[in-house]
Amino acid sequence: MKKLVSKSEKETFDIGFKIGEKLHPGSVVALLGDLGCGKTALTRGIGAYFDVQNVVSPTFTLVNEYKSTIPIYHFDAYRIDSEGWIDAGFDEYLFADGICIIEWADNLNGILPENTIKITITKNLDNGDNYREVTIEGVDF
Amino acid sequence: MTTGHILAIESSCDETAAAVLEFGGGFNVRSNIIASQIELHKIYGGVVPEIASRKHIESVTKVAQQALIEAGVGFDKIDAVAVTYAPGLVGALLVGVSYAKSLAFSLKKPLIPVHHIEAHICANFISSPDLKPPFVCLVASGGHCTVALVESYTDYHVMATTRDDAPGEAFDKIARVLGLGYPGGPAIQQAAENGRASAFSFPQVQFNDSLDFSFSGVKTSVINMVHNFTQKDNPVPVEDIAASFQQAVCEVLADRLEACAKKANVKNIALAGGVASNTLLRKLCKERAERQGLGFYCPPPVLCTDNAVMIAARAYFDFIKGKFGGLDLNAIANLDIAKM
Repeated sequence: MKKLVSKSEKETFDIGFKIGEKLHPGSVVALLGDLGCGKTALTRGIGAYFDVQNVVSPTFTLVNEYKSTIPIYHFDAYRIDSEGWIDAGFDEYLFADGICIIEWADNLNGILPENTIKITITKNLDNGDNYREVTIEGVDF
Repeated sequence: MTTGHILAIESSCDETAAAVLEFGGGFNVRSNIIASQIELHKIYGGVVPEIASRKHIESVTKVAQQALIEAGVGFDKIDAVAVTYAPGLVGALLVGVSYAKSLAFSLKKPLIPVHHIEAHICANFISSPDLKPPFVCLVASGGHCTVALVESYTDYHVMATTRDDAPGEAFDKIARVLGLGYPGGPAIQQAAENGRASAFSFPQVQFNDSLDFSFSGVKTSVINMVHNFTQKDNPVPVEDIAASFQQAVCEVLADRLEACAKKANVKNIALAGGVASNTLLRKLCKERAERQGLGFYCPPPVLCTDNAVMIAARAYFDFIKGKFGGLDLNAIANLDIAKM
């Protein structure tokens, strides 16, 4: 487990970029954290590592697909539970050729692969509005 | 003059809609049926995709039937079947696409695939027959934020788009944080009526190298403010925050629309999409237009929300050009209109 500190959206992006180096086809990244903590910013960093520059919020479409050397599938599971996830056929993405990044993955308990990389972003307002702790589990970092 | 009827189907998000549009000597809306799922999704605070798809399946034939009944025409009077094929929730889009394909095939009539964002813009041609390209239009909704240059009735180019959240999505998320319920747009607008727009100053992001939007900064800033109030056990000034947040978002939208109009050197600006129903946004855009000596156009709220009349209107311009879709038409979740 690795704990990093971010003090700005840019630093969160940079952490994402570094996480990108560790990912390969089949990687699943579970992103946990409250609204506005930087889940999409971190995903933009991962995308940038793979030369994808147009990562936007997947809230409306639930999944955005980005073509790169490795396809990137970016999910928002806020309005989905495990049953809905399987019904929608999203399960197939997990065992395909790409990298899956899943925001609000806490709604999908029990159905993500065992080797899922878990990234938790937490705020601590005592240390300022932009202070974030980024905890990374499941990958050497 | 060609006259006829287009039957259009829209199912990209949480409304199942069908409409009959008569053309020839202008547009005549013969029917506009919308089965909304908002009540259903309220309990979840947003659209639930699986529920949405199933509801579309239950509704689509009934809604289409109702559109024909209200229009007073039978299938024999339909000259083309139009349908939204992108962008949106893929499961929801597929319901409309499959229905429209089967209908077009059995009626032996052309199938016309329509891009949802272009269709929103075309709602303006229904409400304002005097509006003619070129003009610049802001399409703002729960899933979209695009300023498009409309060069002709069939040429649309993106001038600016969001780099993170759509404005309607920001309204939904902030309404959730403020405990105002879903959908967030009307809820924020109502709360803002009793608040002071100048109470707080939230960030309005502008990039040096482009006219793109970003709403994640304002979202995070509001959330931090709410957390700071609650952490200190102070009451959250919900109405002031709602008013100040709404002001920040609408000012950015209006400013950027004005900047795009200048850049494209057009004489008219227009609004479209669900967020175009917001009265503050309409007011700010109208002021910007007057300041620049531009014409200002905006559809009535019934044509701003997702509907099928706008789908038929966009389809008409392909119909007269003979541009049709095949039965291999597929639904596409993310598809930009052409980038400039």
